Amino acid sequence: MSGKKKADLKVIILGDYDVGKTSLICRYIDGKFQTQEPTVGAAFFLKQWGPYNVAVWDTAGDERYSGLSHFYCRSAGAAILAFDLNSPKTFESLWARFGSILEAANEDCLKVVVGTKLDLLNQSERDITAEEGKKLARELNEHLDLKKLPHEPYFETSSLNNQNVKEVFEYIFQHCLPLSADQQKRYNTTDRKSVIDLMEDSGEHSRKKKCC
Amino acid sequence: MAAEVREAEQIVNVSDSESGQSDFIETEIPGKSNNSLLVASDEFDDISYEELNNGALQAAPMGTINALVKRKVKRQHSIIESDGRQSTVSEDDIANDVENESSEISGDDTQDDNLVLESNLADLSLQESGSLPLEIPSPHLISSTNSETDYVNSIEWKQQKKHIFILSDSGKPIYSRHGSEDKLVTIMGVMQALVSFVADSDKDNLRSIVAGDHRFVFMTRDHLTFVGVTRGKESTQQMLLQLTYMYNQVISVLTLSTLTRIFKSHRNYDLRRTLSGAEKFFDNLLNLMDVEPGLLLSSVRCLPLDSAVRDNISQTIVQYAKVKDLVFALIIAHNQLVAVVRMKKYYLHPMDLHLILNLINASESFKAAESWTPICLPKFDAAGFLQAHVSYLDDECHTCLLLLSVDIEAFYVLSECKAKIQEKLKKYNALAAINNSLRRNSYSIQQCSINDLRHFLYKARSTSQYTSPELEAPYNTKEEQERLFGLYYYLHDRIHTSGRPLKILFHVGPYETLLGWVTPGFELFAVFGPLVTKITAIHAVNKLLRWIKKEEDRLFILSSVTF
Repeated sequence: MSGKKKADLKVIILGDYDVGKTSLICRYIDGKFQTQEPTVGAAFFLKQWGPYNVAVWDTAGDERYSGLSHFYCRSAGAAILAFDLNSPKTFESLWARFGSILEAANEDCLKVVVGTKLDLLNQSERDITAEEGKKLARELNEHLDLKKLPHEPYFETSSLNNQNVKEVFEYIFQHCLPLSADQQKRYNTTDRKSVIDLMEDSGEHSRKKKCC
Repeated sequence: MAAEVREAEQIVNVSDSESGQSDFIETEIPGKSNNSLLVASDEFDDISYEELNNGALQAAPMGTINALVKRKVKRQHSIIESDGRQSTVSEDDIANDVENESSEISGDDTQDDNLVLESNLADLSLQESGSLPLEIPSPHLISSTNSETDYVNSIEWKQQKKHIFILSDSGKPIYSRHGSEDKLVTIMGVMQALVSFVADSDKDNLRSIVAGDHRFVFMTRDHLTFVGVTRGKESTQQMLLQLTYMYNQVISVLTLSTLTRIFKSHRNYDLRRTLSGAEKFFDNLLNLMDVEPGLLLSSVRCLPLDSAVRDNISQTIVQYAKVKDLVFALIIAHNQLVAVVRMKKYYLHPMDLHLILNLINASESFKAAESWTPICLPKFDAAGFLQAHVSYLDDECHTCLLLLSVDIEAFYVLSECKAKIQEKLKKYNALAAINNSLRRNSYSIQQCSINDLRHFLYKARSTSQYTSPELEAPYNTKEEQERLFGLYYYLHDRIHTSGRPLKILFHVGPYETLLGWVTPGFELFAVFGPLVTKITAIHAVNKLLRWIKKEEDRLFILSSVTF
């Protein structure tokens, strides 16, 4: 119990079966996309964010694991509510299933609505508009002052094409554990696996943050 | 069945040993231990339809988890008596029976069903697809299309070697091994009609039907009906054992309390909803049954390791995982047991261990990250979940550590234990030793240096562990392996047939000679070349037993370590 693994922030990801929760996390943490086996129970990832440790809990979408939800939701600082952009049912579930589960989370828990599988979406035939997604995101975060956030907590992502994945996590981390521009620069070098990626991204990113 | 027997009689020559009894030398039983870590069980002998009607599971120690949790709350240090009883009983049994062991050789072999085995030897065309459990795609993940409807009506579907169905009381389909259960509503309706007709008309239970070369076995428990259809070599009793494993798997996912509660409130409930995502466990378990003799024998195989290395591993676990509420800690590599540490007074049942092996075997997802998942072990406590911390200790994901606790909050504590255990095992080169053993592929039959012995299964009953050599030529093709498995099914069934159990069976078949020998201490099933005589075979198994005895420290876990 050395507290070595004591995390500074707990982020959980919720959502229906097969919406791509594990893929999203693996894209961010391992930097690659691969087809995932269905998660059993809940899986634990640890991520460095500047000087902080962030615990990321990947959960199984199957209903029979709902007994575990109290365990991983408690004291969660942020939750990613994932749905498949191509499946309205998974979007509805966010309200129906996961709203109540999240009552165990921190009072100031940031809830980020994330649409997945953007690469499969045909924009002209989409069932869930970005506006609906943003509306849900606003409703879920009524307890927070959204003006403090750079934009509404809503993202459309593709783990396959690596679109918006990093942005989701950094949006959350920056809200919950803000790093100064200086810190970002300092830690970014040790933070990423790919050197090329990080030089480009980090520069851009810190500049953006400053403007906001 | 009678028709099958008549056909077979012409090609088979069966004879039992009656006079050979004195040739069997009393050796010290290899792999025997009074300090077992597993419940000594011969589940096969315990399973019967009578048992089912009495609610076999409820009779098992219940509320173990509750007791543990209560103890935690009260901070009492008195230890709750549980299934410790079972192990003492078996030890006594052995002590009593060892003496008259060699004098009890049952001879008569005129009973006809022993010939059933050979009846289908010619019919060994194997339609089963895929060879390894993980390669077979779960039919449930394929989106439901017309092709599925076609599939369940196809000849291919009908010719599958073994079908397993699960349906609810009200005839709702829950699971089918082959084809989507959606498309099987009609046939499941028929099954339900058969079961309930027998139940309603004379308050009886439908057990099995034999039609042509197919055997239909039925089992109804807790609002669920399990149906197995096989044209393989399994006997009704053996199919019943397989269905029991399926039932246990359902309980393992849901717990018995949840299952009963669901059907109490909604008789018509569609259980697939609650079981969604669990199909892979059923599929994998069934595939495991076809290749892993441990399930038939209610025993597990240990990874061969020097006993010093194994002790070192167990002691490391004891030292670094001394955590309240941790009931079992196991290390598993490729379906083989490396080490088990248990809480005092609590034993792991081999059937539960098979469910654990199946959990690991069926889910690739554990390889990605440390996981925390509920699992119910029906023999330990069917009423509640244990929480399993699952992680792989090496980068190649061969060696898996499981920590089973009653405390749902224990994850972080166990995660730290895992990190320490991993560090120490690396330092002691224990992980390297495990990997070496895995690479060496157990052992070759040639190492026993016994002429004409092709393969064997040896189960030490007191420790519920078994050992067997690698499958080598001629059993190096899937067809031949399946045929070998059929021979074991036959031998096992003949020896254990509840009506007239045998001690020794010597069987001469067209392609090999079989010798089965069961004593209160062990079960041995040996397969020889076809021309081996009874005397040679007896000498050979005596020699084999001495060899196993010599190797027992490596092949079995003989001492049980507790926290």
